[in-house]
Amino acid sequence: MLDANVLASHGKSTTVCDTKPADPVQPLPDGLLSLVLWGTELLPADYLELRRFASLQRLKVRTARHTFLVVAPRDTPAQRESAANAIAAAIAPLPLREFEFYGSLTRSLVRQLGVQPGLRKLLVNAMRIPSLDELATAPVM
Amino acid sequence: MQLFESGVPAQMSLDRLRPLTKCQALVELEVGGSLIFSQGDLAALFGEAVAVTVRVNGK
Repeated sequence: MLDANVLASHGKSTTVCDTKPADPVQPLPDGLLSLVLWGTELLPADYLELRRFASLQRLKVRTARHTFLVVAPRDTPAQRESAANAIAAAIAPLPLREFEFYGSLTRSLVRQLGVQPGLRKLLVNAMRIPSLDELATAPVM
Repeated sequence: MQLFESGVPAQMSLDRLRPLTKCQALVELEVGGSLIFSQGDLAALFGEAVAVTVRVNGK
């Protein structure tokens, strides 16, 4: 069982990285095309590391952190919103075509998704969907 | 585009989704979770140009 579920794809090869929860992103190569971050222990500031994956086209990320014994988030709403805002900042320079997000959807993340130029596929799973006004210009198909 | 809202009680209304009718590139929309509308309501809002699917409670 992986402590941190990081599924990374680089070119035609796919690698499952069994890394320490502290920083599962740091060992990954810059040229990633696809990345799944699921059940990691990343803090909001850690998500900014994603900006170095300048070729990243597919990102699936769950920012909410849960205990395994109790089916409930163990981070606060403020922490979840900070993580979402960090994701918004992190994906801005990335050529994402597909984005799956599981966490608190914040206005800043909606705003960023609305201007993400290459985005073709979007999945959002959140406790509450905020105003989507700024998503109206998104090039999502 | 897929949007799932899992909050309780159900909150997602058609008005919340109305801004997406301006999204000219949108061709497929799937909405699920705590909804207070039906697939027919969603189809009427977006018209034939967008393929819509509604999933209630993950079904």
